[in-house]
Amino acid sequence: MLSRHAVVRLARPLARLSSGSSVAIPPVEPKQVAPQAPNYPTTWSTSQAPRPAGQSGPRFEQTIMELQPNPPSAMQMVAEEPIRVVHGRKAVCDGGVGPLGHPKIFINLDKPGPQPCGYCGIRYEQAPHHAHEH
Amino acid sequence: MAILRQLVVGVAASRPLATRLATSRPSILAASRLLSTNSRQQAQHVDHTNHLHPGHPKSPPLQTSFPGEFKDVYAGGPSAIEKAVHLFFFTEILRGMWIVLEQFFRPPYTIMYPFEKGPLSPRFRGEHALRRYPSGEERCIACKLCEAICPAQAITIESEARLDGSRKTTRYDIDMTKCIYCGFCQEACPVDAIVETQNQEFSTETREELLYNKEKLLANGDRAEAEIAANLHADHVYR
Repeated sequence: MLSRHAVVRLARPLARLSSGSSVAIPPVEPKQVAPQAPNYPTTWSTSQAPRPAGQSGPRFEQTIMELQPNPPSAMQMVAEEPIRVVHGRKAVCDGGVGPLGHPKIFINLDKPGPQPCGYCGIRYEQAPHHAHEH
Repeated sequence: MAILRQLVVGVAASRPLATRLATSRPSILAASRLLSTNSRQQAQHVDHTNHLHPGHPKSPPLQTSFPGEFKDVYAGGPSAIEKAVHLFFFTEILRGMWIVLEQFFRPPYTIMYPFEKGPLSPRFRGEHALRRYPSGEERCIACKLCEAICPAQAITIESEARLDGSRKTTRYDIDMTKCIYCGFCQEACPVDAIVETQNQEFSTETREELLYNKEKLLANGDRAEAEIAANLHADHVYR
């Protein structure tokens, strides 16, 4: 997962460099790219609209971009959430706040590695144990 | 002389009020409130029984009295002098002015609006917001039920998988100029993601500021999350 992030982050400047070198257009000054979210620099979906910069066109000519709503990226917030270690083969997740959470789901933890809850994104992992020694 | 006599009669008629005022001296304000605005004091007793009985006291049949005998049918009611007193001394106006006077001594109903606000129901439907789970994940799972149920078709949703594989919305637009604030979107939402907050003061200077995107809705939710959660928790028993 982290490797995919790294690949994407590396690929974007490379693509910009390659396109700039092949096409003989006058080099525009490097646009000040605003970070997409306060805790994540780039977009996190393929067709997600990037956050416009201040001088990126007549539409945002007089817009103060610092005052525009800029909520943090949910993907990064979930990635910073610690992994819950569960004793057993299944985890139960209902959002954690009683009736105001999400529908209760059971998550199979047989596969190695953390398994995320499809609703709230909290990752669960089976506690490491010695297989069949007892 | 006649006017004087009527005045004396009027004072005599208002004697019970004066005695009642005098007996309840410590709570004179409460007593005065009882005097004029308590409906019990002004209600007239209506006898609902014996409407069809021939011997009803308020409507004496003509046959029971002898031909030469006079029977006063208005014996129980107010006399002509009392009616004349109420007519000539404008007692209705005086009673109305007494109500005005006690309103003058009561605390006012008005509030200094931008600084103090009246109570709002937890079901109030104001500006929209997108909520998050406590882990920070967006609640919206892009099921598009709100888009389907919106009668004004003000909601536009596009969804796509993220870099970590979770499928979430990449676009959640609400045209607040189309929205009729019916609350169907928050009723349709299975995970309480789109809610209508209690904020009703979101006027803008331009029209396009009312075309909300996902960032604006998420920022609304982040700002009012405590309030939204309290309202939903106050109401969750009834839904």
